[in-house]
Amino acid sequence: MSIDAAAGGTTHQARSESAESTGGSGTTQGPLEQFTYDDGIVRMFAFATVLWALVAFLVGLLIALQLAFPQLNLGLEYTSFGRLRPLHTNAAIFAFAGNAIFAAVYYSTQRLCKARMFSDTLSRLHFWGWQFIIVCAALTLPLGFTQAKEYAELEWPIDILIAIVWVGFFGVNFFGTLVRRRERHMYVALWFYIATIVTVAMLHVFNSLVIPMGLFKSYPIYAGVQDALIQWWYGHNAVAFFLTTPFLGLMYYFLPKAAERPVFSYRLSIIHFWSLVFIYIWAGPHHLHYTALASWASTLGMLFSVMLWMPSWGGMINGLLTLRGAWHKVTQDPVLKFFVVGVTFYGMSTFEGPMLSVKLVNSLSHYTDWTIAHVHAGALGWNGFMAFGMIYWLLPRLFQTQLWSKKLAEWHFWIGTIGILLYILSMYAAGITQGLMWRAFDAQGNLAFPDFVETVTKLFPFYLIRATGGGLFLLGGLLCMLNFVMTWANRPKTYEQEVHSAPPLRPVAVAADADAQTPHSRLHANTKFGHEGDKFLQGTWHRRLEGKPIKFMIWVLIAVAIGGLVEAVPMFLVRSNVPTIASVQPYTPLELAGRDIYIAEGCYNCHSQMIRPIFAEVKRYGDYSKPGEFVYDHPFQWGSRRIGPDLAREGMSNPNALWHYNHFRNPRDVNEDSVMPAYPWLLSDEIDWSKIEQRVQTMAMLGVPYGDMVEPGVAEEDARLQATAIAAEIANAGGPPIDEIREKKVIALIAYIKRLGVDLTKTPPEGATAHAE
Amino acid sequence: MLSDVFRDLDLSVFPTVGMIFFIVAFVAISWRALRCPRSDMHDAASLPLHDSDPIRPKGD
Ligand code: HEC
Repeated sequence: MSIDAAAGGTTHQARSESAESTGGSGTTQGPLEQFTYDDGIVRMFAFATVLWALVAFLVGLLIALQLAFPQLNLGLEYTSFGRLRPLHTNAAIFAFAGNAIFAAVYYSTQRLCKARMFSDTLSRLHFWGWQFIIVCAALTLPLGFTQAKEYAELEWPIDILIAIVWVGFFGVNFFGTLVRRRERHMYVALWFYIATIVTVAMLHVFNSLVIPMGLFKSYPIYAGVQDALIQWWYGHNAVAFFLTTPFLGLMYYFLPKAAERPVFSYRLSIIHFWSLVFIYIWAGPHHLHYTALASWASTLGMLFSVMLWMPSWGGMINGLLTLRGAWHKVTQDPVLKFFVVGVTFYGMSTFEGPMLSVKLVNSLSHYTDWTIAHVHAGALGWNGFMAFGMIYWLLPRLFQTQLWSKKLAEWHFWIGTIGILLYILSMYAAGITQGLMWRAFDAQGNLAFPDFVETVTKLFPFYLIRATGGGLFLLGGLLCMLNFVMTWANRPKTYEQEVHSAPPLRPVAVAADADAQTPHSRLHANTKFGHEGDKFLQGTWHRRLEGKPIKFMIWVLIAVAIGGLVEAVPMFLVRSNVPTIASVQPYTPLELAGRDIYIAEGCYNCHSQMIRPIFAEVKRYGDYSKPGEFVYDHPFQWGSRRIGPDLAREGMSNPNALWHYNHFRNPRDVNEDSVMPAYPWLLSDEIDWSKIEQRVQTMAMLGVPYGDMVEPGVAEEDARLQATAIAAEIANAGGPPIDEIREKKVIALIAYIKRLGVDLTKTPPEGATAHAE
Repeated sequence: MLSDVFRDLDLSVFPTVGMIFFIVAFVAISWRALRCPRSDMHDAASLPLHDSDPIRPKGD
């Protein structure tokens, strides 16, 4: 790409005379080795960061506006809310934040290791592989290919690609560089990168275990409660290990660089690191309070989330105090401004997060825009501003010229800050308003706002303010792009390649060094155990650990794996955790097809299927959800936000097929104030009958008891019969004639909707057994 | 089988075990961080500042 055009420029012997001082690791002597850094790859990732930022912000703005003006999906299936929202979150997390992380890692790792990246080829494969994944995501998500698990929506072939690029290209390249490094001590930023790479790989693999059904469709091996637990173990730790630890690494490297002074307390950074690694991984179940998840698991999640507050604030304070004595610089330097506000938002979000994980608060905040405010304080404030701060710091160094316009960067800072504030304040207001309206009762003890849509229209003004805030943030991103391109245009014809030199770390020297570091017991008594203990207490074990990347990696892996195991193992082994209910039977083949439409359209982005045991909720939606109701749900569809009402018992409360038919054609025909998208294509597209059987067979493979239904032809016949019955119901109620509609997708979807939540009150079929104990 | 073992476990011990596990690790690491000589800490903290990429006025 043109950004990289001048990368292979001439090699200057720019600083060889200062080699001694550069190579001052001090632990080994030997002939100096000369090397250069690969900044071309950093330029590429930096550009991708800003480019994808614009895409992520733009799509975010569009879907935010759709919640106020549903017609803005232009009547197209590809641009409807349920399909674009995953595109927005994936673009923000994996494209924008992801590329920012890679730019940070590639720039700082080389310098902290005094080594060029392990392999330039792997670097390029990593870059292009990752961009290819992003393009695949941008194509498949609007087409409705999704696994319907938040931030893990991409279908299985792309998941495999991600694993290859992350582990095979990025991981190998990074650890190869660590092994070849010329600086003995691994600086704390590198620890954060190590934790990121290892943990994200683990999360990704375990959350993506699926049985494929064709190239673009798969079912997770987990169902219901287990699927939810694994998903939020993943989902929460995507926040922890994709949006927090690598950005902390970024902070610990770039903030001292920009402030031109070392981090306030290196001791604190060590404690910060290990506490995060130990605690974060346990916190996932706080996304599932009051759900059908066993309460000990969600209590554990709450406990560890509250504990997270301390180390997180330790990190924030460490970042802010790094600027002690340099505050005057902040007024003049946009880079530091971005960092200061970014770190402050880190503090805010990590205070709010633990607060939201307290069950009482969560009962109000969950499913509302409060959560949306929280994640945007994190994503726009912390990730966004840290990334932009880094970009502005890098630009002059990468392109070896002055930043094109410092003033524009200042403008970006102020516009962005105002944008974030408008965004999050309006969403707090919206969230709390709606949460309170859901649980409000009148004097007679009835719901004060029984019509759900009343609680949605109330949010309209807040949504406009939010869109304004998002628009400003996008504008800031555009200014950054302008500054980027103009700075690039001012680059020299050929980049100067600085040659660095440092002595290698030689294995022999390592052994000798390790020996020198081995402490001798200071005790006099002759107790072996005491001596060992004293050596341990002298603490050099950790210092040695810091010198060994692979061992270090393994310890991190152990720390994060224990958290996951303690939560998940009992879930998988104890039957009594998920008591089955005799009357709950597998979906019919047609309902299964309808469920896949529900998944493809991303209805879970607006609707939950999980009634919490909270009085107002049971009053509004019906009996609370039981774990046993979800045992055949591959994947679970509990959702996390209620832009529309909960649908867990929709089949009980609203079984009218014609109503649903009209509602899907255009929700505003039925409910004037609805913001739900219209789904006209579901009324014209036909059900793919050839897939019906395959679906049932795949489910049977996963252990769903379908019995004879898997025999050839049985499932399809069953589905056609049910479709005709529903079409007849619609026709008889005054809808279009049977033959016109019975082959259409909407019929399958209605079949699924009518089934939701009805099994609980049925009498169990003969021979069915329950395992509840 | 394994599931029988787990069935008989009182699951409420898990938070407690988790807590103890965490505290032990936390104390060990804090201990090490606080015991480390000041000079070592200073050296480590200065690592990012060793090299500097100067900003040049418009390239040659
Ligand atoms: C942009 C968010 C959004 C999306 C996406 C969305 N809905 Fe809705 N839905 C709503 C809102 C808001 C309401 C309440 C107003 C209304 O009845 O239209 C609603 C209402 C409903 C209702 C009626 C509930 C009742 O009151 O009985 C059903 C059923 C429904 N949606 C199903 C779906 C299905 C199926 C999909 C996916 C194909 C879907 N929705 C996608 C927002 C959404």
